[in-house]
Amino acid sequence: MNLQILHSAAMDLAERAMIERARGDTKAARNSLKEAFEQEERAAWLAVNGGAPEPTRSILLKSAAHLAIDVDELRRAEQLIGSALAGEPPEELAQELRALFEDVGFHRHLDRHGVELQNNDVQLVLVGHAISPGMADSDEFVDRISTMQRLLHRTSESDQGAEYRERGDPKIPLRLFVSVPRVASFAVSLRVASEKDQGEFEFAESSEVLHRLLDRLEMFDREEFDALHQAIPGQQYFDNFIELASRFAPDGDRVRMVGLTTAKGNTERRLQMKRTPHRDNRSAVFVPSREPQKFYGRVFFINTKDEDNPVIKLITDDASEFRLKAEDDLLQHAVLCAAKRTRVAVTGIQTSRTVLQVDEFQPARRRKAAKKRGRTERR
Amino acid sequence: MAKKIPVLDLGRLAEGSPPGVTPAMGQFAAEAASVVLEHNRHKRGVVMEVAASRRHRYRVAWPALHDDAVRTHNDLPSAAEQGAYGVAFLLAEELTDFRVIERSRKGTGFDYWLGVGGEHPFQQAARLEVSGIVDNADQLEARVKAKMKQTDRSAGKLPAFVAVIEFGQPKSVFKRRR
Repeated sequence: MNLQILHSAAMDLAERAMIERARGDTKAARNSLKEAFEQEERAAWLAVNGGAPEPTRSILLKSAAHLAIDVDELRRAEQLIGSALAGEPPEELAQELRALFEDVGFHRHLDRHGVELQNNDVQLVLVGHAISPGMADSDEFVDRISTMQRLLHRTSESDQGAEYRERGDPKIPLRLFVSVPRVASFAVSLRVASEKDQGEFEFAESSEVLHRLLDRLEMFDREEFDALHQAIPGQQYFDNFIELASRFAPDGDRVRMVGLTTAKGNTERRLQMKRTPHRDNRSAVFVPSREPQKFYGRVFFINTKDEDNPVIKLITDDASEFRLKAEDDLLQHAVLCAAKRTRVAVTGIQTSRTVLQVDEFQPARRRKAAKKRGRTERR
Repeated sequence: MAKKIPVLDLGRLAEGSPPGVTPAMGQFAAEAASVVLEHNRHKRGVVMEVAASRRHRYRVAWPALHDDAVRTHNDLPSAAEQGAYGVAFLLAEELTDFRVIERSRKGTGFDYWLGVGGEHPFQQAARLEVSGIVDNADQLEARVKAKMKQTDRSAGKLPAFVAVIEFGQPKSVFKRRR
């Protein structure tokens, strides 16, 4: 069978799987992926046995290894990666293959290997340059345990409607207990309980808060901030969650992945956090507002010679910049204000970080005049 | 006489262009891009600036969206990543002598490879590294730098093109990594 035909068929199947998953058909996606892996693995070994040149050899082996991980064929993934590294891959691909080998290890460590997890237990796995089998940089480990504890307390307090606590001890009697690391990995079990040997029922607060926290960490990792804000409506709790989740998440180098495995009844759940949050994640999080707001500033018309898509921007008094979207008559008004350099008060809904859907335009007093009037009124 | 702005028609992606992308995948990417553009309140024909070896401008056109498309692509950051691939495929054809000729699996997505084709699938091919931004002009420069610096060793690098698509303005960067 021809290598090119096998590889193309594999990729068509993998693409089909991606579309099936996006449309919610996870069973079909899994079947397509399994078939894709079988075809790609055959293509990869054909390349090896047929003496295909680099980088074709390494690329096919790596592609097959990725698919092997997708369908939990971890042993076959190791064999494909090993064979690729045994050849002469370009250094860039060699680095990616080594990282992929670590990923296989990570997936192995997410397996519980017979370790019983109670409903209120979570297995935590760290992978990265600061982590080696059985050892981890204490800052990376201790900081994440401490952050996890704070996340649990805040999640419980927020969901119980408690007033946001600026400081002081949590009122919820939940603690985090830590096991010793598993052999040859950095995986530990954490137990959420008021007593260390206390296993909890599925419906107990300690179990529930753990699973709610994992839901929210997953939303955070996937940047589903809208859904996250619905889960955490209180602004102070939301801001606090973003800050703590950013500390818990991988930094991309010292800790490349953070994995969590839980068990609820007979169902196992795995969460792999790979996204490295922005340094100041709060500024990266934008949740569209549904309420109109008023902005003061000046309007600028940028002549793109595209009459159907005029670019009209508002530069506010605090130097924020918005592109204005509005009905034609309002946009015409905006163009006039731009031409006259009039300071304006714009009322609208901020639909994205840089776009304002305008409801109303009004001329505004000049800033100095407004300030002077303010001083006069205060006297 | 004003120079006419060429059109970048996302609808072409569903018609088997480029050859290394299935029509189904092309349509998926086109839908994703369209969802993010319409989220940013852009109308069909919006002008997109492209910073390549020199500056270009394209009118972006896309077919009407159906409800399924909006539901499928409701995760906007993912839609931006997927949609960016679609835009990048078309930009590669416009701005280089290459087309997407191959794919390989990477993580939960794909690496796409640009070239002219040959006996072995990936020989003489350049990797297309793509990133999509829903709406944040400030991130564009930083994302390009990060993609250019993907590996910190100069030896053993594969040839690559970097495309970062920011759907808010909209604006794109398409550059060869040297």
